[in-house]
Amino acid sequence: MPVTLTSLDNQEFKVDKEVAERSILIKNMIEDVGESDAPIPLPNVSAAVLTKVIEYCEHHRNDPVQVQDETDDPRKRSNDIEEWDMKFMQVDQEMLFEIILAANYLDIKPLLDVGCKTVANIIKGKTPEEIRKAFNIVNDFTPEEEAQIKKENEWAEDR
Amino acid sequence: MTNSSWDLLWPEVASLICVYLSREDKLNCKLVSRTWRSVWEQQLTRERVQTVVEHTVQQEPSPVLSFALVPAPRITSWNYLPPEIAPTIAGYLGHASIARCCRVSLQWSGVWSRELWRNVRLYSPVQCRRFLRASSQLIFQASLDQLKSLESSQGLAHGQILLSGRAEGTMRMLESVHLAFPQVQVLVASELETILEVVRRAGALRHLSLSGIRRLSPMQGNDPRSTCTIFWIESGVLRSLFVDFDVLGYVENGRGWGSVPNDVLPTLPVLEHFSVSGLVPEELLVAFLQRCPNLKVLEIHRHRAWSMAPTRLSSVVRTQLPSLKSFTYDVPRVTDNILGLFLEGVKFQHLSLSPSGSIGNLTRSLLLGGASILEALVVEGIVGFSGEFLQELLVAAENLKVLSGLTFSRPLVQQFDLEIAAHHIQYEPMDFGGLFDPVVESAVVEQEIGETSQASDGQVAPVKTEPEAPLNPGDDAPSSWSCLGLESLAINIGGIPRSDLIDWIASPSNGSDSTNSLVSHQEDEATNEIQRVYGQLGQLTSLKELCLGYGPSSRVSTITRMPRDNRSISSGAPQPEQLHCISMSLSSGLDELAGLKRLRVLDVSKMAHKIGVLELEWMRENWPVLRTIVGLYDRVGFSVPDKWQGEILHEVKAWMARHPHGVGSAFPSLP
Repeated sequence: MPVTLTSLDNQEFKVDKEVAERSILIKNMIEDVGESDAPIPLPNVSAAVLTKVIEYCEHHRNDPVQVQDETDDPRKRSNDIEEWDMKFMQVDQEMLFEIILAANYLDIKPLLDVGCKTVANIIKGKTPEEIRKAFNIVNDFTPEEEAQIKKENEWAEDR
Repeated sequence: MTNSSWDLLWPEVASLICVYLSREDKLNCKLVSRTWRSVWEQQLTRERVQTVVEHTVQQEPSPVLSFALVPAPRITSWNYLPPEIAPTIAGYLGHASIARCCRVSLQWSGVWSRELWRNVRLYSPVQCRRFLRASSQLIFQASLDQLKSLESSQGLAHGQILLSGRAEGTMRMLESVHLAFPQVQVLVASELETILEVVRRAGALRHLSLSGIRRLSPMQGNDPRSTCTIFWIESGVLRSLFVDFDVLGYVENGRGWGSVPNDVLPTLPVLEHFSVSGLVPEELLVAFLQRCPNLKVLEIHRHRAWSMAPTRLSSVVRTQLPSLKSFTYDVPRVTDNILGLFLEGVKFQHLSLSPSGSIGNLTRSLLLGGASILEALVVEGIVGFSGEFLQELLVAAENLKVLSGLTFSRPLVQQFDLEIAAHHIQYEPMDFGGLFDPVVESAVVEQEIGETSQASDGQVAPVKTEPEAPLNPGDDAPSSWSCLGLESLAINIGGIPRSDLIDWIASPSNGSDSTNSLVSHQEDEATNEIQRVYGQLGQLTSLKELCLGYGPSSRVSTITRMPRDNRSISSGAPQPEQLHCISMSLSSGLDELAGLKRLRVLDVSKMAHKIGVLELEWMRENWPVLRTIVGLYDRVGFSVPDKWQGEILHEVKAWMARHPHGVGSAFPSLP
């Protein structure tokens, strides 16, 4: 049975229940409300982002449910992104941010993970200035402040 | 609940509103909603930047004008990194990257410094020195309170650092401490006291691991209690304790570390995981274990054997630890009788044994008796574990999830967390020679192999002379395994020769086809057997990790059916050593494994696999979550026919070049 999702900008999306339930939030909603034709409002997700999220869920509709055990590992690897996911994540930084927020809100752990891995891969090996460029972030430190922080965290830096 | 469009406040609009608001108003706006918080955060950030600019340029244009004339750089959402996202990203980053993130912007600094301080891992000496140097700084002292976990290879120094100048009640967040002592030869008892003082003050400490202590020397006065302080530890919240001493303590005139305190110490009510390694007296262990009523996981690693049978210890393990589910007994030269002492009348879900002596009938029957609840069986050394016995066990062990030959030699950092320890068991192959008995073997092959090894290298291990009974076509198929929930399997399936390898052995130098292959009817039988093996494996649809290949103790240099070393000959147990009957090629029956939809890791580094392009394509199609293939190029321990190296490797590399992400992107990268 298809489920209707309504985005923040009031666009309606019809998707299979199985696909929609990749989102734990939606899954719980459906369980709470029971079978119903009423559209599920997703006031925090825009249509553009929801389109992407649904594309992801469609592709991963048959994946086995992720088991908890992998989330506890403090030493995770960010280089094992699937080919399809890697292509899927080739979006501008703005969209990447929106996808991560949506995945967090909709509680789609694998999508959140893949988004965060992508961000981690962007951050890795870059200087603060390069990170700013990559994410279009304004440097609001005074030079003194930046130097101070560098000094404080020196123990953690490379070499 | 419907959201007004105002919830989606545009930054451009906000900046126009901004000029009319006081700083307090803007701060209040930040509290309205997540979107607003982000937007107003940006405004405040922008304001700060402009202030800085104004300050340096020494002029004061009107804000509106400045906005109109010099549009600020477009500020993206990344300027406001939600704190709830950061831990997930940080999980994929090292200290250095996180430290650099701290320098990106003010908001990032706040978010990332929390992450930086949450889990401090110091393993390079340079890092350690810098960390120590920084310890005098004010910010460092404040940051200590955010510390959740500390791992360090310079344990002692940090024990003292954590203690120095800290009042009680701090380190409230500290949950786990792992201190390794690589350079410390002798740890003075007073120094251990220092560390235990940290434990006492950090009221939330749940995991403590002290490893690599070569020797603990007593304090002056030879107070027995002072040298065994670790066993006097008191805590109401400690969940796991790992101690690894090479030698604990000191004996003099019958006094010293062997003594057990007279006063009764309080129990450790929530201690669930205790791992001890080193020469610890039995009495001390007994006294300690009696304080742990809720122990679930017990690991005893020893570098030397007990001098006598540990009757008191085994009695405590069997009768006074009602919650015990997982038991590791990694003690050299353990005998059948000693294992029997521990296993008699109890059933464990996780069992790790190192039967480097030999497993006898007693242990075997006790294992079989408890097989129904067994979830993980890890054995190092295989003497006494015949294929027949394992077959019997697998038929009975319906709940088995992990089967491997791993040694938990010492508590590792990775095993620090109880949950991690339970789920990230490394796998090492275990030899299942003869598992799929009856064994297909022939005298012709034996002889052939014997001659080959003689020809190829001068030193030859004794070749078994008595021929095995050839496969009787009328034999029953092996009974089905019941452990269909198996998730991790490290296995070396022996007993069935592969015709392709026999050809190779017969003519190792020229690589041409051999005339001495199996006679055809035997080959048919072997093919049938191999199909059955694939079929059996194919039923294990819960498998996540599959490792095929030699056991870790394997010494064979060729794929002959030879005793692996003198020990196995002397033990009298025939070791049918056969190169794997399966080659993971589609032509040999790989297709039978199409149901292994959960397979994430395939380790073929210790097998003469024939995985080529066709197989890789097949895996992409049939194993959706496969992420890693170990040993696609680099096989461990032995070489494969040059012919394969040339043919398969070339094709595989070409395929890899076309599929940069391979099966999963963790596919081994091209050399």
